[in-house]
Amino acid sequence: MQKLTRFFLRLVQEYLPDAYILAVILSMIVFVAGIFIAGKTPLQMVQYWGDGYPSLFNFGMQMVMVLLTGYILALTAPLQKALNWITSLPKNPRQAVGLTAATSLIACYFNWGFGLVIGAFVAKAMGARVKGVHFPVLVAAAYGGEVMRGPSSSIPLVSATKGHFMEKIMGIVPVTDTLYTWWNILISVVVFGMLIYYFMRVETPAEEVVEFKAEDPILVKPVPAGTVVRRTFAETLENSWWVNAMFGAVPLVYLVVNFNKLGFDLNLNLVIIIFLVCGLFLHRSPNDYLAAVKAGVVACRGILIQFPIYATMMSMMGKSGLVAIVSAWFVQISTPETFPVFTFLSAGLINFFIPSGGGQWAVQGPIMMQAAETLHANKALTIMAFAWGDSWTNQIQPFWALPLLGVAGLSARDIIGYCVVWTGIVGLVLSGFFLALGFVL
Amino acid sequence: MLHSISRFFVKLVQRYLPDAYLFAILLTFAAFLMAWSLTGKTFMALIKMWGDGLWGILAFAMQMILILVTGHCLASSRPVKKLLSSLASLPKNTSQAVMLTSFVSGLAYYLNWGFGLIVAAFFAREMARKVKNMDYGLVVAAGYSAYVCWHGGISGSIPLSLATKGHVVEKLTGIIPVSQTIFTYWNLIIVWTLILTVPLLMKLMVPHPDEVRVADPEALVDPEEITPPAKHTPATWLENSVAINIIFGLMGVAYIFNFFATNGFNLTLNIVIFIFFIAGVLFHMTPINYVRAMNEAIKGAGGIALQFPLYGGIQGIMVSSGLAVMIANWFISFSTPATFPLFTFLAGGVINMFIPSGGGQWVVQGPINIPAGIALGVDPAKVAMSIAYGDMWTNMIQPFWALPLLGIAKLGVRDIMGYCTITLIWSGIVISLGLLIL
Repeated sequence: MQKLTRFFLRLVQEYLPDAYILAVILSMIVFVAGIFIAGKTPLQMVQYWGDGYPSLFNFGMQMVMVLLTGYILALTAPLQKALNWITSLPKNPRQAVGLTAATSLIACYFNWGFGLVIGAFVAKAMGARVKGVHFPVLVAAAYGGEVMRGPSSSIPLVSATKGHFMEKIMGIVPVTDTLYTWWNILISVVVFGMLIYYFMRVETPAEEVVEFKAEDPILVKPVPAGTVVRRTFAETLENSWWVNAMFGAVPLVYLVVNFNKLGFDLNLNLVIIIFLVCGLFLHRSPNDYLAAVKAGVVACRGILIQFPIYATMMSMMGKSGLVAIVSAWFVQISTPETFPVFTFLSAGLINFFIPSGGGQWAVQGPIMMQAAETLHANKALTIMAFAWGDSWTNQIQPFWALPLLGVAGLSARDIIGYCVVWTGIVGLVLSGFFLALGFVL
Repeated sequence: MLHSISRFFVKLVQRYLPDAYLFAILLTFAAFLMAWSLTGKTFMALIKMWGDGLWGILAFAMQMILILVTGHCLASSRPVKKLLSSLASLPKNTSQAVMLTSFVSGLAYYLNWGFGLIVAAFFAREMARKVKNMDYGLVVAAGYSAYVCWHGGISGSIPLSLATKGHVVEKLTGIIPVSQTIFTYWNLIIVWTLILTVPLLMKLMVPHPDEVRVADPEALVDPEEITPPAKHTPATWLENSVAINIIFGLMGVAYIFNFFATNGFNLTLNIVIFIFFIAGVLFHMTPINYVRAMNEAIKGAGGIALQFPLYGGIQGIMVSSGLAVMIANWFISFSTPATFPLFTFLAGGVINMFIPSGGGQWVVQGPINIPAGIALGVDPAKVAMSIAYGDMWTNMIQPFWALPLLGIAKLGVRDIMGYCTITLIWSGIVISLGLLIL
């Protein structure tokens, strides 16, 4: 295992370009595949490609908001204290990595948006505090937790919603048949165990350890007590906690009202509101808040530039019929028993080009569910196989790592090597699970 | 006289104008209280309207950020910098230098405001390097003053938004193509009058040789360029591959070409962003250069990313509660069809002091003035452009957008604001007359 990890680390370091260039290359691959596999003309492909560019603007901005408000929150004094406490627990680098992975995975279980941001900051704080720990391993461990999807997993949630877009094909499948079945909980527990085990065993030779270089958080320096500062009207406002807090009351009420309605389903918008409210109340003043924005916005760069490029890929894959063609390959070789495992694999493959889970479900979901219906395969199992396949290959696709890498200040090639091995482990174990379950259920 | 006016404005702005973020908060309160007391909606209903407005604005916020950063990326590419550098060696004295700076910046703003802000800063700095004994504050102010034309140009957020599906007042106006906004004779006259006369205005302000304050030599030193790592791996080869970049860029060119061939010359927000993205990609030669440019460009986007959702909330309250209609009626009560665009412009100028983002201002003011204009029988396109003029006009004394430019030029607001005040007065006259006569 150690040798394998080191091999992939080298490979990735050598061959994996910056995430933006990977996105560009992937979109070219889809472009060519559309011409040769789906038989479209280059002009048609160009059309699909460009039309897709603005299609994820809304989602992209949501991600920017999750990251930005999360970043702002993480720079408040109470959160810094909390991070300090967590990072004081581990006694050695190995425990530090394990704890980071566990924190990230648990947070991701409840909400992936939440988890990505939390994981990033725990990794960063851990790197600043614990001596002798290889920082990329910490960040990779935090990202490894992203494979877990719990109550915020969009695919089973959508399938359980009345009037969802595929109701005619598959009906409504309640979450008690998908997310909260014994087998899905078993899978989740096993993945949790494997994550901790794998990342705690990653060894880095002492001479290669790169520690995290802590930079100063760009916050406004506190004014020493007793000094009288003469302030203009503008500065008085900018330094008043009350301005932030009064404003924070608006989203707070909104949050309380909606939280009761939506219960435990933490969707992305609610995560943004939670981060926003907490950030507003916990920062000392609008000035501090603005300084945090300034520091945080830099982490959004990858999302801004790459989300539109992935949107073009999604558009090309869907409109050219590539998704249908690739899915059909998998359906062809399936029996009712093996259909879940092939669903898992095909979802994993297509996810590489359409990382957005909801987007992929919209394009590929109908095909797979129609096939499940025709083959009389287990529907609930197919849904979960799809959902796991979707989050599985996220591990080797830097798209979801962008917010995390933005916070950590690392490049994709620093962490993906670890993630490749982790993806292999998860893929093997989950394929086994779904194959077995296909026969058992 | 001019000096004391400008000093007065600088003092006023610096003393009393807090960050735009605080205004977004104060405006939220104001909208909330007014809607609560005037429209009789319940507290909870207003909260819901706020939230709905917040989520409704996300795509527009993304578009605004992208137009800024893609424009910025294009401006920092080598060909653009080279072009600016060679243009900067043309002028022989200070007068010519400030005129050229203002004019070239004006052209750049006309194309894309994010692009223009950076071009203006680079160009002013280049000028200061080449022309001896020139007032640095004036040449930077000349670059910024030309910004007063941007919203009538082809990246104007309001006209582009009107031409894009799903804009804020689509139910009232439908889609309005740019041929009825940006490319009407009245807009072209107003904007080009500004682009051509602001340089002359700058020439008139050239100080007496005794009063010249030249640039601090440190402000003119370029930040060190990042040297690529010496290690050559397949990954770095890909990152520096011109071929990949050009193929990708050509795909974009093909799409843009095809878009205009099938849709006619129909600019929308999305296609403008796309054009600037592709142009930036091509001009940067290698993919990794574009990534680096992006890393710089993003730093200026924090303000919009934070404030836009707040503007969306304000709009949600004002529109859904009926407050917007009430204010619109108040406007109608003292306007005639002839004076309405002028009032809209003046109101826009005031609002812009609090909401510097053009798109943000549109989100808040559009739903008020557009229905009022329709009720009075004024062309919605003209009302929209009046808001746009108001937005670009008071940017001359609202430093929000000058910050990225000043950051590059290493100057303070105080150094340029005085000159810009004069531009404010002049452009106010030009636009007011234009709206009344044309």
